[in-house]
Formats: sequence, C-alpha cells, structure tokens
Amino acid sequence: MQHRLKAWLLVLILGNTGLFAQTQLSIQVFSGQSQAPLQGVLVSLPREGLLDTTSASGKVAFANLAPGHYHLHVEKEGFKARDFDLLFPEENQLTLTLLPSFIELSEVVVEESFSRRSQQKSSLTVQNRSASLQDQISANSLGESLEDLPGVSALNTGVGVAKPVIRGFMGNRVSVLDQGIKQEGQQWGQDHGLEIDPFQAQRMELVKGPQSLQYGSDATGGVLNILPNKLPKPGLSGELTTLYRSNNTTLGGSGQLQYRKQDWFVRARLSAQRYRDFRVPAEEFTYNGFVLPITNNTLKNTAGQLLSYRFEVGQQKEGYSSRYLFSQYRQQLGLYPGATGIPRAFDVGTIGSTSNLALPNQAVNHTKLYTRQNFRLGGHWLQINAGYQFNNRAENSLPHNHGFEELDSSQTLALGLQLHTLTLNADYSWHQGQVEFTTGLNQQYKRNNRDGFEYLIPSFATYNGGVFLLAENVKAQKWNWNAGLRLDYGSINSAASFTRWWNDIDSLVLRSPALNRQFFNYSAAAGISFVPAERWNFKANLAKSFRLPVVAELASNGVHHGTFRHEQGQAGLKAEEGLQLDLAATFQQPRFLATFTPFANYFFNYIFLRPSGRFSNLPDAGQLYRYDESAVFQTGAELYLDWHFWRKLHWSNGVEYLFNHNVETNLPLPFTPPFSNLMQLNWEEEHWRLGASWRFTAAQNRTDRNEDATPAYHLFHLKAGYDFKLGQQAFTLQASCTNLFNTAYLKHLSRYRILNLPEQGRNFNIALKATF
Amino acid sequence: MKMKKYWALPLLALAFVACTDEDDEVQDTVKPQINKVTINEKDHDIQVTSGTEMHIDAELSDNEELRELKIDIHDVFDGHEHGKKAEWEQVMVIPLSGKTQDLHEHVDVPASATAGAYHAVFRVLDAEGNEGDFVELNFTLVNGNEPQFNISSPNLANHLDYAPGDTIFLVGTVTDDKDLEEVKVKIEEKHEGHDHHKKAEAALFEEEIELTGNADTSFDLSNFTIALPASAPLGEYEIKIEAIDSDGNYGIVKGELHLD
Repeated sequence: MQHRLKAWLLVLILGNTGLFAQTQLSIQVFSGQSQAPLQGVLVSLPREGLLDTTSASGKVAFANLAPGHYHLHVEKEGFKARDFDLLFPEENQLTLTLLPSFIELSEVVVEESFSRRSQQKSSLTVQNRSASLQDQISANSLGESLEDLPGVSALNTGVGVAKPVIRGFMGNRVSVLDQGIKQEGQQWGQDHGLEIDPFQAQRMELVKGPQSLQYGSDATGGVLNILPNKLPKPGLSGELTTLYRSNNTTLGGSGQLQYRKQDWFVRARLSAQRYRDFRVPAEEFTYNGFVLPITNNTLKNTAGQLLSYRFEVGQQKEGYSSRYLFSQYRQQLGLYPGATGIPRAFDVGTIGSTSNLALPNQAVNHTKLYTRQNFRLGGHWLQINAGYQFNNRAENSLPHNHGFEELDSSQTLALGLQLHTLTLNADYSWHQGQVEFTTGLNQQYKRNNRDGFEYLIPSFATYNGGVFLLAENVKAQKWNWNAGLRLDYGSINSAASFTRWWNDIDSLVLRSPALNRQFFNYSAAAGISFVPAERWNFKANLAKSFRLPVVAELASNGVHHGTFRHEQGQAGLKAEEGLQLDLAATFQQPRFLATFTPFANYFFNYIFLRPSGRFSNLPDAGQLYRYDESAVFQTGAELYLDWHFWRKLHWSNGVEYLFNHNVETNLPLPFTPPFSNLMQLNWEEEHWRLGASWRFTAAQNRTDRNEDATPAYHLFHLKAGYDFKLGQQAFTLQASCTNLFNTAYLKHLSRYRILNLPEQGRNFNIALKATF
Repeated sequence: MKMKKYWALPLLALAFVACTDEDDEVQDTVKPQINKVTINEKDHDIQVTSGTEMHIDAELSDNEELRELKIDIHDVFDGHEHGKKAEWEQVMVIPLSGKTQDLHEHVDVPASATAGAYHAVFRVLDAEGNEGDFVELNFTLVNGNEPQFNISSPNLANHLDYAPGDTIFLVGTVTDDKDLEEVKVKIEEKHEGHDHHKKAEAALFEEEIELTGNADTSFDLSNFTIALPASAPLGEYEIKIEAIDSDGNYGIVKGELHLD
C-alpha cells in the first residue's frame, strides 16, 4: 500500500510538469526481497521496440502510447523475469516486484515465440539460449552446440554435419524455425545437417514436446526456434571473431556490421570456415571382420569448407515493424570413403593431402529470402512472415562404383535434390477479458526436382496449409492455462518416375509410382502451469499431434549409400498421429533450481523402416527395407539441477533418459539416445570465466534389428573465457578443450558408427572476438 | 498442504508407463551366418576363366530360419580407367530355407568379360530380416587376351628371400596381343592366411610405368628398379605385377616375399 501511495504522489508531481499524463504508462519496480526500489531493471515493450531502464527510484515511463493491448517484459540480471499484459490507457500504472534469482534460465523472457511468456506461464518447458561465444566455438555445428541441453542430442556425420535430436525425435519430427519460417532442407536424410551458421543463430529457444498446434506437421518432438537478433544500438557497430580448432586445423571467422539510424537498421554478417580431415584416437577399425587402417589417426576425406552470409534490413516504428532478410549457406564436405561402399584398404589407407576435398562428398547451398511484417491493428498485433528457400543438395561419387559402367568419371553427381519452398504465415491476437486469443494461418508450398545417376526419391510438389486458434489466460497469478485447436490440409503430388535399370542402358523401369495424396488432420492441445507458491511450478500439457508423411516415406526406391539398405516407400501410409503428455515440476530458490520433466508419447501409426527379409536386386545393395507404420510408445524424463553454491561458483547437472518401443516389431526404435548425465562446474567473474564438464553416456543396448549396441563412455571438457580492453576496443578471448583425455568412443547417434569409427579426438578451440 | 498432492503428477505419468504391458516374447535378433564359401573349391588364390562355369559352394546357418543369399560379382580394378570396359557384373539372389543349408551354384562367366581382379560378395538374410556378416572372396579372371608374363628371374612360384636394402632385378617380359597401356609393380605386407584379417598399410614399394604407344605388344620388365628400403620392417610380403592392355584387361602375377 505504501508503495502505491508513493507512486501516486510521484505521478502527481510529474504529471504537473508533463503534457503526457494521459498517454503515459508508468512503471515502478521493487525488489521482492528487500522491498527497496530496483534500479537498472530493463523494462521493454518488445513488439513496439521500446525499452528503457528504471531510475534510482525504480521508475520508468513510456510516453505517447496509442490505446490498446501491450505486452511488457521486465528483466534484470540476478532476478526472475516477469511479463505482463495490460490494456492502455485504462491501466496506465504498474507497480511490481521482482524476486532474486541467480539461475540464468529464469532471467529471460522471449517475445517472438508463440509462448511470449516467461518460463513460468508456459505449459511446456522452453529453454532459451543466447548463444555465447563459447557455445559458438565449442561445437562443430549448430546441431551439436545444443547437446548440453537435457533431452537434446545431435545425429552427426563426422564433423560439420549434424541434425538436432529432441527426445530421440529427429528429421521430420523436429521443426527448426528460422525467424518464424520452417527450415526445409530434406531433413528426412540422416546425413543432411542443419544448414544454419552458428554465428547467425544468436538467440534461440528450444521447446521439448509437441507444438503441432502452433506450427503444424513435423513439430511432434519439439521445436528449435531461431529468433531474430535484437535491434542494434544506434550508429555503427559490429564484431569480428576469428576461430581456430586444432583437431582438424579449422581456420574460420565471422564478422558482422550493423548500422541503425532512428527507425531503420541494416546488418550484414559473413562467416567462413575451412577445415582438414579430422583426427581420431584410433589406428584401425574393424568392420565385418576386416581390420582396416586409420593412417596417422586421420579419417580420410573428411575435410570441408563453409561460407555463409546474411543481409538484413529492418524498420521499427511504434505501430509497425518490418524485417527483410537474405542469406546463403554454402557447405562442401568430404565423406569418408569407407562410408559409401565396402571400406577398401586402398581407399582408406593412403590419406594424401588432409586438406583435399575429394570424392565422395556432399555439397549443400541453402538460400533464403524472408520478410516479417508486423502491424498494430485494433490495439493488437498482426504478424505476417513470408519466405522463399532454395535448398540445393548434391552427393557426389564415382559412377562406376555403383554399377554405371558406361558413365564417364567426370559425371560425379550421384544424387541431386533441388527443393524450393514458399512459406506464408500470419497470426493475430486479441483479448477478451482475461483471455488472449491468437488465430493464425500457415501455408507452405514445396517443389523438389531430382538429378543424378542414382535414384532415391522422385521429383515432387507438396502443399500444406493450416489454421489454428489458441487461447490462454494472461492475468492469472497461480493458474495459467492454454488450449487450442488446429486444422490442417496437405497434398503430396509426384509423377511416376522411371529410370534405366543399372545394367541395361536402354531400359526403363518404374522406380516410384505416381503419388496423389491428400491429408486432412487436426491437432489439439491443452496445458496448465500451476504456481502454488513462489518457489514451485507444476506443468502439464496434453496434445494430440500429427505429422504428414514425407515423400521419402511414400515413394522412395533406391539404395541409401552407406547403410547398403535399399529403402522403399509405401504410397498408402497415413499421417502419423499421436497423443503426447508432458509434465514438469520445478522447485526454485534464488540460488537453486531443480526441474523434472517426464513425458509419455503414444503414436498410433509411427512410420518406420522395416526390414523385409528380402534382398534388393540392385548391385551391392543389401536388404530391402520398406516404410511401414506401427503403434509406438515412448517415455522418459530429464532432471536438471542448478546450484549457485558459493558466490561465483555454479554447479549444474542434467540427466536424460528415453525408452521407446515399437509394438509391431516388438523392438526399440533405432538411434535411441542413451541415458546420459552431464555435470558442469562454472566459475564466473566479471571479466573471466572458467568451466569444466563431465559427460557420462551409458551403453545403449536397446537397439533395433541390425543395429549395433554402443558401449558406455566418459567425456571431459574444459573452457575458459576472458574479456579485456585494448584502449577503447573490447575483446573476448575464449578457449576450450573438448575430449580432454582424447577418449576413443563410439557415438550411438553418429552416421559413421555403423563402421565402428570413433568420434573426434581431443580438440583445442580458440576464438578471439572484437566488438565495436 | 496443497503442494504435496501435486507430487503425484509426475509419478502418475511413470505409473502409466510402467503399467503398459510389454509382450514378453523375445525377438530373434540373432544373425544368420555364412560358415564357409568357396569358388571352384578355393577361398584364396582363386582363378576363374571366362567362358567357363564358376562353381560356388556355401554353407549357411541360422538359429531359426534362413531366407536368402545374395551374390554380387564385379570388378575391383582400383579405379583406373583404361580402354573399353566389358567388366562383368552380376547380381544373384538365391532363396534359402531351414536352419542350415549347403548351397552349390553354377555361374556362367561370360566369354567377353574383361580380365583382372574381381570379387564376389556374399550376403545372407534370415526370415526375420537379420543381416549376417558378409563374406568377400577375391578372384582373378583370365580370358586369354590379357597381358601375359614371362618372368625367368626371380621365380615367383617360389618363396623369395630378400633383405632390406636389396634390389630385386626382374628378368622377363610382359606381352599382349594388342597394346600394353601400363605396367605396375607393388610390394605390400602380406596378411596371414585366408581368414578375415585384411590389413593394408602404405605399400612398401610401388611403381607404375605408362606405355604411350598404340601397339606396345611387349615390355621389358628390367625397366623396373625395385629397391627395397633399408628401413623396411621384416616379415612377409606380397609382390604383385600388373599389366593393363588397351582393352582394359589386367594381367596379374603374384609372388611371396620374405624379408629378413
């Protein structure tokens, strides 16, 4: 009460001096612990692009606001972030308290995602990530940099190619959104990595659990949401980072320049990297009873290069904001020769030059052109995003390795896939009393053309469209609920595909029948987040999700090089539908956080590859595998503990476990991430940081048919960072050592595991960043 | 206390999980096996003649039920491109049954097949789709048109003895009815016996000579200076001399070499 009186007095005094009394939103923030006003609290209206910091009396004001609904973020380091909805000018004053917390996870609120809420109010666990320099350099790719989050893994193909795996779900069961647009890069392919430069993805949000409601098909396992970068500060600014990794002699860097003048800003980033064959702590590997050499501990032909650039232009006004983005990601990397045929001693024995990128190799070019347009209409925001993507993939190898004797060795395109995607999304929110409704529309059109002397999938065109309605209560303190419904339509079309038979150049054989499928689906979800007392939070989310089959599952008919499997689609497969339950229990004190997140999923018709018990008639091809569907049950949990036990020392431990079962085959699913425990100890001072981590990964003995079990292993990593200034110039030096003891280990989720090839050995990473 | 009853929520989820009945039937994930396989009754140093029948004998077994055997036959010319290619390539899938089966197959080797190094890869499946380890047998295909060797010294049929630092003097010629393109000599460490152990490091000695004429019908092997490095590790080696003609036929001779 006292606070309100003081606030009123101040407003009266201020109001007499100002002309803005009626169009001003006044906020005052107090510490929930000491009851004193809090200075330096960042109060923002993200949608409007307005932000300010509280004064010594804990106050901040926003003037010249149009009437309507506003969403407010209140954040300060060392305190738990909060968010508020208010209707202005009916509510033009806000007094609030912040509770102290040293747990970084709770210090941030994220606006651009669909949750738009603090962690506490969301019914699913949302993990925010502001990628630090350490995150960007310690892992070889964006997918792998997320592996330290509990429940998240990555399926990698050597170094440089990795796809995120959330609770065992990958490929088309995980949606990756870049600025709100779903990334389409033939992600059904096991060795197709995520085509996003880690230096570009500075703010991310990872949601574990189904988000079919908001994002449609493919979001059954979870969503990785790469958020737009924050607005640059006025004037010219930028940064330059250079990077070196010892294990594969990576030399790289990334530079960004940005300029802001009033409403407008422009930003450009360029990243480049070149690396050589990577080194492993083994001299030989055993495959099919053969012992083959790993000469000089180096895996032949695993060198690569990456070039990525992005231009961005944007405008932020009071009732309108826009962004325009153009980016390209160009990557070429070698594939270990033994991985695309029977490994031959003469192929893998002599390395030659370690920087040479020879055959077989993979190349991907991903081009994006996007725009986001936000308009304030009727007191609320209408958000539209539209984009075009072109994903051009090529897998190159020598033709006569696969039975195409008459082809000239200069024709090396084995498989070419050119995918064009057009996306258009729109959403609008409005309020009705305590409830905020959001309605949205998503549309996507894809067209793929195939090329190359090998055949795997046909050319195709698909269309997906969905509408959804989401409701959540926004004013509640103890009970937050949300519920929604979504309807989707999808169509998949491809013409009948003919190719020649391998040993008959004049023949024409039907490889894939014509496809003309239409799908209608619904998704629904309901969730609650209950805060019985300030320290506790319980969440429950029940969702009915779906996933459209991808063309590979319906119409593929060819050999997947490296696994020798001949994969064949089944044209009549139904869309996957599942019931997913996610729970969470969180206990939080200022210095301690514990969060337990169990889940259970049941899929009525999970699509999987089933061994047929028959061989393929193609040369050098092994068994024929057919896509089939079955009921699948999956459950597991993560437990995460975070304890700031002494001033700057911070200990955390994340445990993850997953169990799945395919009812038809009565076996586990392949590539199930094993039980894992990651313990970290960090010491953070103002200008320097030290960290050590220990990851224990248990053996994975729950394997699918024809999948090998993988033994347990321990990995240790160290990291250190130092911020300093030379004159006016600010620098950060970051160094880390991954796989400190050069442990030889097999990773269950690795494309090269099938050859019993160990993962990368000890690696020293060092980066220097200059910010101006 | 309100808080306590909500503890049950996560536990309920686990209970739901634990109570789902799992089929107790144990799945057969035991791989079938290729216990023995021979071509023309040999499993090493196999020579096959074009225009004849190749005899394949295989002994297979599984714990439950065998389903299929696949035989892939093709060349393993090491990526070199010479002249026209008429390399023979064949794919066969043979149905199997029972827990054990002894197979005898005849494969017609085409008369026009290019001579050289080939391999046959044998793969086996059982009824459940379990994939056994594959077996690879290497053989040399001859058709009479490939380069022919006439070496008087050293006698490659004998076990040759040399010491590190020695020079091997090849006395002899390689001839072809059309045109020789390339002749190669390679000395590599030899693996023990004919088991699955196949290990290869960088060759001890390797030299290639290309013949650029259009009608090189003869080549003097003394053009090779085979100097064994003084630092060569002692042990068993294999010397292989290959000649390729303009039709892509490979003529191959091998010998065993002992360094001490």
